[in-house]
Amino acid sequence: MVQEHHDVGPAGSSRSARSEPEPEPEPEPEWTAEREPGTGEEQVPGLEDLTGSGATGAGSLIASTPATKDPVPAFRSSDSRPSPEDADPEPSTGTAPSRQGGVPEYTGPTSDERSEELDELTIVARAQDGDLQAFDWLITAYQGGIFRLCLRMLNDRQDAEDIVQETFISAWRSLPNLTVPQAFVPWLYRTATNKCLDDLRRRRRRPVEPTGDLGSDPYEDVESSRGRNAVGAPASLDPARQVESQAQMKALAALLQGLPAGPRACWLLREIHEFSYGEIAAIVQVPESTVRGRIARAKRFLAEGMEPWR
Amino acid sequence: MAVNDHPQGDPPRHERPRLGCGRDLDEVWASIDEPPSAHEQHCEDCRSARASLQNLALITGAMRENDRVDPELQPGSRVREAIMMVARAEIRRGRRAPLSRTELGTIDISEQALTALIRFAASTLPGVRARRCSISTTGPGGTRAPSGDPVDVTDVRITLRVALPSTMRIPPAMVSLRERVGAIVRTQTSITMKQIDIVVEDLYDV
Repeated sequence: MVQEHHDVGPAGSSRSARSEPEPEPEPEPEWTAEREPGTGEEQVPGLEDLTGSGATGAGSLIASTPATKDPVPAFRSSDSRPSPEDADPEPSTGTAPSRQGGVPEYTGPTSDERSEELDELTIVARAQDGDLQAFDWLITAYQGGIFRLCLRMLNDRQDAEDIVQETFISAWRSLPNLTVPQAFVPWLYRTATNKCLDDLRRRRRRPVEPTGDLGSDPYEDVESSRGRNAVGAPASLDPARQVESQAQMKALAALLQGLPAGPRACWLLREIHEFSYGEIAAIVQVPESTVRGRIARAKRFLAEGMEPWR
Repeated sequence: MAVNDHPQGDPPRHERPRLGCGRDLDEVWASIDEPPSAHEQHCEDCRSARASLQNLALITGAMRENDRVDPELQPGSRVREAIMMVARAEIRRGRRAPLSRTELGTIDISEQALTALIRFAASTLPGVRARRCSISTTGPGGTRAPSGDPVDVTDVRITLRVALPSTMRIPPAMVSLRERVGAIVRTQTSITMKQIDIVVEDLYDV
C-alpha cells in the first residue's frame, strides 16, 4: 500500500492532503462549491440558482434561519471507537433515532465520550451520500415548517401533506447534485412554495370548495381550539386572554386566505418562517424590491383586517 | 389606518402603500419596536398606523410561536413513512466491490456500504465529522472505469471530506485518520486502499 503522509496547511484553510498525485489533476476543491466529478447526472435546475444567490458563506443560510427548523434532538454519531478488530461489520454513521410521538429519541451510546452531536452541514452531506438516517433527521427538522407554509397557503391539510411528501421525495432525488449544502433549506422552501403556487393556479382554473381547515370563521370553534392548543400554549396566560389570543390567531389565519398568493407566500416566509428579504427573493424568484412591496402590501391588508381585534 | 390606494399587482417602490402624511408603511414597520419618533408622536396617520401594525405584530408573533408547537400543525405520520419508503426503494447503492469468491458465488460490498464504513472508521477518531466520501478506481492503463463496472478492489482510491474541531492539529490528525480508515477498511473488507485523500472542508468551534 502506498501511504505517504503529507502535511496539510494551517488550521483555518481548506486543504486537500493527498497521498499520491491524481492521474488527472483536478482543480483544488472549494468546500462551498463542491462538485462531484463524473457523476454523469445533470445538475438539477434551480439548485444552481439558489447557490448563486447568497449561499456562499459557511452555514450562512441555515444559520440565519433558525425558526424554519422545528426543535429536534441532536443527530449524533455513535462513535464507539472500536479497535479495527471489533469494528461493527454492519457499520452505520449515525444511530437510529426511534420515534415516540413523532419525535426521535437518541437511543444509542449516551456517554459524551461515545456520542457526538453533529452539525447540520455534516448531516446534509451524509444525506447527500445516501445516508437514510441523516435524511430522516432532516425530515424531522423541516417537515413541520414546510407543512405549515403549505397549509397556510392552500388551507387544505391533504393538499399540504401531499406537497410535503412531494418536496422531500424530490429532495432525496436531488440531494446528490446539490452543490452547496447550505442551500438545502431554502431549496426545500422554494420547491414547496412553487408547488403551492402551481396548485393555487390549478384551483383558479378549476375552482374547488374551500375546506376551511384554518378556520374561515374566526369566531367559530374557539372553545375547541383552546382545548386543542392547551398542550402547546403557555400555561401562564389567563384563560380569557388565551381564548382571545386563539380567536385573534384564527382571525389572522382566515384573513390570510383573502390575500393574493404572491404576497401571502412572501409574508409567511418573512413573518412566520423568518427568512430575510434576500432569501425570500431567492425562494420565490422575484427581485428583492418586489418581495418588499408584496410584504408591505400584505401587512397593510392584514393590519386593516385586524383592526376590529384591537 | 389611512393609506393611499394603489392598483393591484406588485407596486414599485414609489407606489408602495403610503400613509396620508407620505411615509412608506415599510418605514413605520421597520421602527415598530422602537419608541415613536418626534414625527410619529404628533402625526395622526403615523400614530394610527403604528397602533395597527403593533397589533398585527403582536398577533403575528403569537401565531409564529403557537404554530411551531401546535401538534395540529404537523403533518401526519404517514407523510414521513411515504417519503422514507420511496427513499429506501431508491437508495443509491452504487457499484459493487467484489471481496471474495466462494463455491456459492461472489461476496461483494456495495459502494454505498463501503463509504458508510469509511465514514464510520473516520468518526472513530474523536472530533472528526465525516462528510461526503467518494470512491474512484482507475481502470487498466489509468482510465476511469465505467460507472456500471464493479469496483477494482486492487485500486481503490477515496476522497473523504471531513469537518474538524478548530483546536485540532491537522497534520497529525491526518496521519491518524489515514491509518484508522485504512486499517478498519482492510480488516472489515480485506480491501487495501491505494490512496486516501482527505479534504478538511470545515472547522467547527468547540
